[in-house]
Amino acid sequence: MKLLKDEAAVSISIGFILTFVISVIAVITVLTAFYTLMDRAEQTVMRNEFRIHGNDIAMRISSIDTMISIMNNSGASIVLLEYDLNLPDKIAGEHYSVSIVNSSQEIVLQSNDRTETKVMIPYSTQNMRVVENTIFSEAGTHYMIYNPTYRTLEIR
Amino acid sequence: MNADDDSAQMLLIAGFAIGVSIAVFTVMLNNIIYASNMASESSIETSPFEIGNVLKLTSQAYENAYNSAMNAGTFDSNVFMDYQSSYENQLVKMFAFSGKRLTIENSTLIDAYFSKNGMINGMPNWTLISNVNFTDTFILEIPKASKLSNNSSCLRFEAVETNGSMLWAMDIYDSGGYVNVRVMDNNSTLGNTTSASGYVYLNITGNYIDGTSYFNFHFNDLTSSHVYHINVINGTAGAGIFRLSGNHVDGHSFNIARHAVVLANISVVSFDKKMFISYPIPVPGGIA
Repeated sequence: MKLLKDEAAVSISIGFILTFVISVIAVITVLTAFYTLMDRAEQTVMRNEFRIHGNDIAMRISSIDTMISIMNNSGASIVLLEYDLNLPDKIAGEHYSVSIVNSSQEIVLQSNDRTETKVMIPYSTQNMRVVENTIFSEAGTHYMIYNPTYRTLEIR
Repeated sequence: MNADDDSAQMLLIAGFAIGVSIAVFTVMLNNIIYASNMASESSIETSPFEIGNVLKLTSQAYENAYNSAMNAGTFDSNVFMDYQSSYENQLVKMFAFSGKRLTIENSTLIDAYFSKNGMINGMPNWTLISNVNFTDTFILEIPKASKLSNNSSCLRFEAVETNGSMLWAMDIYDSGGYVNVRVMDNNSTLGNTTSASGYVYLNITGNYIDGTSYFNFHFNDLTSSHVYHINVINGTAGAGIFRLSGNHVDGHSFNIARHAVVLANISVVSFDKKMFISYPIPVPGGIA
């Protein structure tokens, strides 16, 4: 009965401790949520950028394939065909890799083997084969080179 | 409302509104910065159709150059070279506007093989002309028997009906330094002849060889009232000249010829591209 009639609640020191602990937990929760959101935003940026560069590469492959078809039909032959492939060194502050998977005809872009950043872009060729290879963004300048003898396109 | 009330509700509400405005503004600004930093446009510089146009233009220009050079009846190489260099100058200027350097190196006239592009390594089996209703002129000239292969896998011209059945065929091959010609229908040999020298002139529609010697090629009687294609088989097994004219089934006329081949070596260089194309152009060409 004494407890029911007691309106003093907790003492000032206990009240302070409770308020402090609740505040700390709240701040930590907010910070954690914020960092998670930031991380997700970074991965979203990476995937979006990867899609853009992947589509760019796929369009170049398709464009070269069309060019070879035009050459074949007109009787001309390509002796040398070399394009610079300008890729940024880092995307969202991270290096990344670009792989050509011939079996599924896909370009796979990902950063540091993290599946959250992995993007697969399909490509299609009729008149040549794209050589299966992996390039890394930190390696500097990259090239797309057509080999007329084997009718292959190599990205290196 | 009490005018003396100084508990600052309005101040609090204004502060809250400003805080929300700053938050909204920050989010919007962040999105703008994010969007403008994306690699939005891809710099596709590879235009296959541009190269296709260059090939077509070059082919047309060289055919015209050859026809101009042949105006006097014999080939005038100065006219031919002047025409080519004039064309090249114009094309180089066109490409310079888009930041590309284009050069064309020309060859002299090369003996034409009967392959699709006229080269010894060209496509051997191809269709010379499609959907033919009537052939007015079909002339072949083989300058040297030594440029023909022998009987096995020899050069063949054939007229094939649009449904695939063969109407007429002619084999041309080297036989001991002489040109041998064998004419066939779809199941048997109809005639055989050998030239008097290593050179032979075959007028297939006119039925004579080397000027006046009569030889029935059976082309006219086997192809009349049919719609057919004229195909070349093993075109790399022989070099020579042809002239062909007539009418398509739709009434349009065709007139094609091949006297020689000019090799145009085209190179295109821009800031991120290097391309070198070897383009054989059979001349004088014509309208197919």
